[in-house]
Amino acid sequence: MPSLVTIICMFVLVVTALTSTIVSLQSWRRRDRAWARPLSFAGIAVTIMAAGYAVELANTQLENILLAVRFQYIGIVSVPVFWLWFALTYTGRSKMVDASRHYALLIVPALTLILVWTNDLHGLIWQSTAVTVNENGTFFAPTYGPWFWIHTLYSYSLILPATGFLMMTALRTHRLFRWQALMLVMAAVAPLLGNLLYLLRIGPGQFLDLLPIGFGISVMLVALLTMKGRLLEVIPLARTLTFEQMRDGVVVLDPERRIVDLNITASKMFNRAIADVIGMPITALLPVDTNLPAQYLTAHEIDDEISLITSDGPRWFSIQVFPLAGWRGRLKGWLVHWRDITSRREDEQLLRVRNAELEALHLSLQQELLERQRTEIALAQARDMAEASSRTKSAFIGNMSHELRTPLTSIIGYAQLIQRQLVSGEHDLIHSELDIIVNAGRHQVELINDVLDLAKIEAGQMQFKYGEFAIGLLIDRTIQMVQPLAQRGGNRLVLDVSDEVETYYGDEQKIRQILINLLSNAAKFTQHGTITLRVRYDLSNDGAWLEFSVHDTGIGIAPAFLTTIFEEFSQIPGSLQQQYGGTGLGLTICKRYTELMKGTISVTSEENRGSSFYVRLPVERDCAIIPAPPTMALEVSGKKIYVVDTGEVYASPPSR
Amino acid sequence: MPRLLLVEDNEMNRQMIVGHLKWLGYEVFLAADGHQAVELTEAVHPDLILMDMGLPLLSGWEATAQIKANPVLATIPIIALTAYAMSDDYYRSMAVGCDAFETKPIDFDHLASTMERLLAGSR
Repeated sequence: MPSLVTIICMFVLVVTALTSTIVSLQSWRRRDRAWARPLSFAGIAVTIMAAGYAVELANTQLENILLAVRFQYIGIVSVPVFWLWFALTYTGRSKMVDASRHYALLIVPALTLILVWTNDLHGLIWQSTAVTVNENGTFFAPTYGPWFWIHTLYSYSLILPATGFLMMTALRTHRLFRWQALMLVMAAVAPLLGNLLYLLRIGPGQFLDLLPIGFGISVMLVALLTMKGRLLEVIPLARTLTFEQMRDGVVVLDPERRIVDLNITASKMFNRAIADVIGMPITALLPVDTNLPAQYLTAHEIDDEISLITSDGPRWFSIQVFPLAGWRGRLKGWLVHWRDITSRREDEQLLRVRNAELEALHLSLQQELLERQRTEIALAQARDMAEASSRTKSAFIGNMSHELRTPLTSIIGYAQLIQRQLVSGEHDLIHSELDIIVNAGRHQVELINDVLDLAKIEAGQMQFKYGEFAIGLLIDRTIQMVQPLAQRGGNRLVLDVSDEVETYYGDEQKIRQILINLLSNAAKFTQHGTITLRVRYDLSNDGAWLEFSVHDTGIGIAPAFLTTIFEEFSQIPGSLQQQYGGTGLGLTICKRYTELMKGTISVTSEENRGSSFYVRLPVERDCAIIPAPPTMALEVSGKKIYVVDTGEVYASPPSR
Repeated sequence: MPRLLLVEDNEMNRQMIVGHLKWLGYEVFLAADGHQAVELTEAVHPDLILMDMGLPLLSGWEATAQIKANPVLATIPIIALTAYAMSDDYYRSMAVGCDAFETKPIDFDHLASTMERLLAGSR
């Protein structure tokens, strides 16, 4: 008859078997997780073990007991293998042993199982089998053979590492999950404890093998852990990989703000070993001279960026403190997380500086623009004023011309009217005296013209009207004007116009004025001589020029006057002016005009032999030198020469 | 006898020029400002107009432009006879439609030949 202890034992074993079956089934359902499959197998093994043991205890016949024991061994030999397998996968060490090796671990247990069932043949497991009967009941009491110890050793060699791995994980588990860690430790040591009690014959181990119960407890605890305390199922792996290795500092505080956990980064930063600070208030972690604001130590929640003095000097941190809600919303503590954002802040600072620089640049550019606009406005005003002033000057000159001419019109006009009214042949003296008035008046007009032209040039108001014109037409008009004057002195007027010269792009009126001036001068200072107007191209090194030259055989110019001849009122000594007339401004105007047309004017002279004036005007090469049939010149022996004199025509410039 | 219209605001010069023109054998009508010039031109339809430019009320340039804009009068030759004798003034006068440009003080020989030429052309 079994004792109460035995009955309790049997009950516990049955419960263990049932629980293990449930755990096995539950685990099998979650076999998508690596650790669930070995746990399920372990559950089956424990069920077989526990159930077999219960049957063993219920029997008193050796034969039946032996059969139950042999049945038990199916579980006994396999459970360490599955347990290790579970421990490896559960603690993230699944890669240490691949699946095929897990099954290789079953070789020894399989051998053991065969030996158990064939023990009668060799006695390697049990040298002898017997039962002992005491007050607690009938118990299997064999003498163990050599293989039994090999089996035991092998089992321990599997169970011990499994226990070790689980213990390590339990110890490293987050302090918030103390209970789970404790459960895991218990799960890890329970089988060992049970077996040790049996092997050392202590307590119930004197007659009961507590291994099945130990494993039963383990499997149950693990099942509870994995099904209820879900955090554990991820934390062992996640904690190792992320929490410890992350570069952000993390500290976990309990509700009293004592340090529960911190990662390696945090411990390194404060240069304190993890073990030294666990359980200490958070203030213990901080340096004495920290500049961390006091409210950071009391605030419920913080999300901030702050500059802190560290051993590396001031650095920027992004700090978050947030409460950890435990089961049923109870405050479990705080998670303090920080990240060194110095480089980001420096980048931002750099960006800000750059932005400020850009803004300053932009501002200075704007100011410069504004200044420039102001300058432009001022310039425009100055220009407008200058233009207005020029317009005024120009209008003044125009009005001046008008006002000076109007009385002269009366003077000359009336003098001539009187001359007309004088009966011809009579009053010759009056007639000649009136001539003096008329001539003086005309000289005055010339003077006014020249002075005002010059004034206009000086005022920058002389306008040039550029256009393409026929040289022939220019010569025609010029000759018309100077012919009477030339003839008056009994001079021959010779034209020598190059065949090449056809048209010119310029201000025809101004050129005409220059030529009339030069030819008039020549006529004035030449008596019974020759005046030549020569027109030709001068293609010299310094460009293409149209050259007009006026040559006379007159009185010439003294060397002393040659240098100043183009200056105002320069070339005519007092007596000469009375003799020859002229305003003294003609050559000055010629020079100004020539220069304003980008040309040059020069003179050569020999006293009493004659003078030569050269006016060179620039030619645009591509629009010049177009040979064309002559339109105005007389054709004489193939050479274009025509001479205006007293009706004579010369084939070539008359020789002196 | 060709009929001329002399437009001249300066009394002294007007008398002087009339003297010359009569001596040269022309019948002369007189106007002292631009408005009179346009009115007289419409009324008497002269053979030639001698137009001063610096006139009161209506300038010689404006009067010329008005006369030349009238198709009935446009063929009447107009000689600008002005003391505005700068080169710009020449272009300005020709631009409004003058047929010739004579400056003051007047070269009557030149003026006479210009008039003859224009009268011959318009006849």
